[in-house]
Amino acid sequence: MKSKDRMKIVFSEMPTQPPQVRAKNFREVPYGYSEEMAIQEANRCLNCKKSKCVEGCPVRVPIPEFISLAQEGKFLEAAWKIKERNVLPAVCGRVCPQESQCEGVCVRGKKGRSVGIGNLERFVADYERSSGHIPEPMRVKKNGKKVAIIGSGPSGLTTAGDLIQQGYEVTVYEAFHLGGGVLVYGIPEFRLPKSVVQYEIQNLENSGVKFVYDSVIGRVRSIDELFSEDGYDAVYIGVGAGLPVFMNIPGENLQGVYSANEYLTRSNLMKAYLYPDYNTPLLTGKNVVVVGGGNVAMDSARTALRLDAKNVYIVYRRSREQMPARLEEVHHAEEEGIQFKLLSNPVEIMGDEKGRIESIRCQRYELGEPDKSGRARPVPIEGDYFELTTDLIIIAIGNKANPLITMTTPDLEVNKWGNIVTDELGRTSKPFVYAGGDIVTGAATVISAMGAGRRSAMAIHEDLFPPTEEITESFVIPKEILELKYVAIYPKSVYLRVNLVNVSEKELDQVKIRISHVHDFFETTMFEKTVPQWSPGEEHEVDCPRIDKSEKEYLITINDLHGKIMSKIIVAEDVKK
Amino acid sequence: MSKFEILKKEEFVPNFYKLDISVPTIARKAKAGQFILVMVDERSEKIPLTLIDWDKEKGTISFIVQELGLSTSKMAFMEEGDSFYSIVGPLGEPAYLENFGTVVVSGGCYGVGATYPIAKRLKELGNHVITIIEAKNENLLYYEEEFKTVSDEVILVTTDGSKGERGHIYDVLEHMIESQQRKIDHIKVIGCNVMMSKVSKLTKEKGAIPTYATVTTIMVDGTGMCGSCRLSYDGKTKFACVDGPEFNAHKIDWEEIIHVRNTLYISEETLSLQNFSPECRSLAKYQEKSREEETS
Ligand SMILES: Cc1cc2nc3c(=O)[nH]c(=O)nc-3n(C[C@H](O)[C@H](O)[C@H](O)COP(=O)(O)OP(=O)(O)OC[C@H]3O[C@@H](n4cnc5c(N)ncnc54)[C@H](O)[C@@H]3O)c2cc1C
Ligand SMILES: Cc1cc2nc3c(=O)[nH]c(=O)nc-3n(C[C@H](O)[C@H](O)[C@H](O)COP(=O)(O)OP(=O)(O)OC[C@H]3O[C@@H](n4cnc5c(N)ncnc54)[C@H](O)[C@@H]3O)c2cc1C
Ligand code: SF4
Ligand code: FES
Repeated sequence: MKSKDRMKIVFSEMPTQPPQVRAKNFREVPYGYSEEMAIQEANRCLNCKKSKCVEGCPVRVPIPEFISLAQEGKFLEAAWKIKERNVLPAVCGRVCPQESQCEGVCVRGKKGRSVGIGNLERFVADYERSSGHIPEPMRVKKNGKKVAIIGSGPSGLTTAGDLIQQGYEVTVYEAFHLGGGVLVYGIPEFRLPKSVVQYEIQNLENSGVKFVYDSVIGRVRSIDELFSEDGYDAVYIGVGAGLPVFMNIPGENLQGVYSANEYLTRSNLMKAYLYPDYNTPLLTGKNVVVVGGGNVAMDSARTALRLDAKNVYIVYRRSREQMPARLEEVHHAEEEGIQFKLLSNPVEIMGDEKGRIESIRCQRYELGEPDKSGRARPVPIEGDYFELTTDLIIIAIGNKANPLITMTTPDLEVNKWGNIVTDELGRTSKPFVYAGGDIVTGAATVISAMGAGRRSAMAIHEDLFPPTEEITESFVIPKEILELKYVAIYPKSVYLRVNLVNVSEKELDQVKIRISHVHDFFETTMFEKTVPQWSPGEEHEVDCPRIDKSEKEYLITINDLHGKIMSKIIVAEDVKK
Repeated sequence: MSKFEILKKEEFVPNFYKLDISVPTIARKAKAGQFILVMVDERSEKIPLTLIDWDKEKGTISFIVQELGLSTSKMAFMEEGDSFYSIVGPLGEPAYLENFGTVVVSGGCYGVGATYPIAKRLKELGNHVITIIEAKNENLLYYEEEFKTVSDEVILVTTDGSKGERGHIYDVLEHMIESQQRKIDHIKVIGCNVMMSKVSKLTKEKGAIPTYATVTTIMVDGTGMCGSCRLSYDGKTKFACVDGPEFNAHKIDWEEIIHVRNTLYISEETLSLQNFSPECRSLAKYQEKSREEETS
C-alpha cells in the first residue's frame, strides 16, 4: 500500500458503550476493535523511517514494527513484538497517556488524527490473551541468586518478570491479598478489567515468580531481615506512592469525606460496588464533589456516578487544559455527565449536628502569571465564593510517599518529600537495595514505573554478576574516542557503560547518546539518553533493554547540542551468549 | 496445615471467642499493642483485631473477638480446621512500654483481651501492675485468672454489680485516684471509644496522669494508604494504623472519633448483617438501638 493511500484511511473510532448506559454499570467502557477495524487502523501507519512515535514512548516499544505485523493480520506476532519492550501491553494500551507520548508525536497527528497506537496495542494484547495461546514460560537455568521484590504494582511486576528470565529466584511480597498495586486497588473495572491484571500475574506465576500476599514489609519483615534471615541477595522496593494528601481545610474529617485512595480501594479492591454481595460498605451520595483534576479524580467521579449519584462535580483549581488526566478519561467523564467546576478550590466543608457533611464552600480562581514550569498559575479571586450542596466528598489531590518502608529502614536515603533517592538505575544508598516507580518519582504513570523496574533489574544483574573479561573482549570499540567500561549481554538485552575520551579538552553540553540497530540502512533507536554535560574522562551508563538477540550490530551515536555527530561507532562483533 | 488455619476456638463467655491461628510470620514479629487485619473469606471486609498472644516456636497467634456485626459473626460460625482468607500483620506501632512504676491497665469489652499482652509485658518490665477489667455482668467477665498471673492486683467491675465493684472503669479509677493509696504513674485503657474518652477526661482533670488509649477507628488497608483511620491528635491528622493505634489519650479529639468517624456505616452494617442470616436480624436491630443509646 502506498503512503498516499494510507493517508486516505480515516481513523477507526473505538466503539464504546453509550454514555447513558455505561454510567450505570461497571463494565469496561470501550468494546475494543474488531479484527477488520484493527487492520484498517494499522494501515494508517506510514511506517516512518525516523519513527517519532518510538521516541515518544518511554520504553521504546517498536511501534512501526508491531503495527506492520498487525497490518498483515499477524496479531500474535504483533503482541510478542510489543512484549519485547513492554510486558504489560494490555494494561498500557488502556491506561497510558498516549496523547502525551507516542500518539502525541506521531507524524499523522500533524494533520488530523494520529494513528490509534494505544487502541492497537490494546487490541493485539487482548487478541493474544483470548487466543488461548498461553506463553510458554521460558525455562532458564537458575543462576543461584534470590531477589525479593516489595510491592506488586507495575514496577515490581516488571522487575520480577525480567529477573525470572535471567535465572533468578524471585519472590514478590505484597501488602494486600491481591496483586497489581494501583492496577487493582485504584483503577476501576470499567477502565481496566481486573481479569487483565490477574492474567498477567498468572503468567508471572507460571514462569516461576513466587507471590507472597498479606505481607507488609517493614512490619512482618524488615529489609535487613530479608537479607539476613531469608538470604536474599538483592531487594527491589516498588511500593508506590500510597499516602493520601488531604487539603487541611475545616470539616475534612466529617462523615462523608473520603480520600480517593479509600474510596477507590473500597470500591475496587474490596469490591464495595458489589455490596452487599461483598461486605465492605461504601457511602453513596446523591450530590458528589470530587476535588482534583487527574486520573484519580476522574476515576472517583465516574465510580460515584455508577453508584447512583445524581450530580457529580469535579472541582479543580486550574483550567481544563491543565488537567493532568488522560484526555480520553476527561472526554468519557464529560460524556457521562460529570460536571466540571474549573478554576475553583474548596476552602471549607460544612456539616450538620450529627457530623455528616452538608455542603462545601469553594473559592473561584483565575489564571495568572506562568510559574517556573511555564503553566499559568491559578490565583484566588478575592471574595468570590460559591457553595455546593453535597453528601459525599472525595479528595483526589495527590499522593505522597508512604513512609512505612523508609521509617523502618533508617539507612535508606530519602529526599525532603520522603521519596527514596536512587541513581539512574534505581540503586539506593543501601547496598543491594534498589527502588523504582512512584516511591522514587512521586505519583507518575504506569509505564514510567515499569521502565524503572526494568532499569533496576539490569542494575541488580550487573551488581550480582559483575563483568567478566571475555564479554568485554567480544566488542570492537575504537578506543580513541569511546572507551567501553562495562558490557553485559543478557538473553534479550545489552547493557553498556561508556566513557568519552580524547574528544577535546572542552566539556560537551547536551550530549545525546543513542544506541540503535541498523537493518538495510534503516536505523531503529533502542535507547537514547541526554547527558547535560559530559567532560572528557567521565563515564556514562547506557542500557538498551529488550533487544533482539539475533542482532549483530549496534550503532552508538553521539550528538552534541547542535545535532552534530561527534562519533559513530559500529560494534560489529558477533554477540554470542 | 493450610494457611491461616484455626487450631483452636473457644467461646469462653457468650459472644466472646478466642481463636488460635497458625501464622508463623506474624508470631515471629508480634509485639504487645499490635494488631492484625483479618478477612474471613474473599467477600469479607478487612477488620482489625488485637494480637493478644503469640508463640514464636509453635508459630501461632491468638486473638479475642467480640461478636458484633457481620465479619465477627462469620468468625463465630467458623470452626477448628477452617481457614481465614487473609490475615495481615503485625500492624501498628507497639504500645509504649517501659518501667513506669505503678501502672493501671484497664480494659472493657474486646479490650479485656487486648489488655492482656500489655499487662504481661509491663509486669516483665518490673512495673507494679494493677489491672481493671469491666463487663456488663458477671457472665461476661473473662480472663480473670490469666490476668492474675501478670498483675499485682486485679480489680473486677460490672455494670450491674453482679461481681466485683459496681459501675465502670472510670468509677474505679476515680476512687483510686481520690483515695491516694498509691501514686499512679501511667494508665493504659482499651475498649469502646466512649469508655476510653471518659477515662481520658477523668485522668486529665485529676492531675493529668499519663494515659494511653488504643483507638478503634475504622480501617481498610492498615498501611497508611487510605486515611480511613484518621483522627485529630494534638491539632494534627494522624493515622491510627501506622501512627497508633495507641495514643496519648489527652491529645485525642474524642468528640470527632465517637460522633463522626466511627458511626459512618451504621445503615450499611445493619444491612450486611440482615443479608447474612435471618436469625441475625433481631441482633442487628438490637445493635442499632444500643448504638443510638451509646451515642446519645
Ligand atoms: C486511581 C488511579 C488512576 C490512575 N490512572 C493512571 C492511568 O490512567 N495511566 C497511568 O499511566 N497511570 C495512572 N495512575 C498512576 C499509576 O497507577 C502509578 O503511577 C503506578 O501504578 C505506580 O506503580 P508502582 O509499581 O510504583 O506502585 P503501585 O502501583 O502503587 O504498587 C505498589 C504496591 O506495593 C504495595 N506495598 C506498599 N507498601 C508495601 C509494603 N510495605 N510491603 C509490601 N507491599 C507494599 C502496595 O500494596 C501496592 O500493591 C493512576 C493512579 C491511581 C491511584
Ligand atoms: C486497632 C483495633 C483493634 C481492635 N481489636 C479488637 C479485638 O481484639 N477484638 C475485637 O473483638 N474487636 C477489636 N476491634 C474492633 C473490631 O475491629 C470491630 O468490632 C469489627 O471491625 C466489627 O466488624 P463486624 O463486621 O463484625 O461489624 P460491623 O458490622 O462492621 O460493625 C458492627 C459494630 O462494630 C462497630 N465497629 C465497626 N468497625 C469498628 C472498629 N474498627 N472499631 C470499633 N468498632 C467498630 C460498628 O460501629 C458497629 O457498632 C479493634 C479495632 C481496632 C481499630
Ligand atoms: S509516527 Fe505514526 S505513522 Fe509514523 S511509524 Fe509511528 S505510528 Fe506509524
Ligand atoms: S487503615 Fe488505611 S490509612 Fe489506616
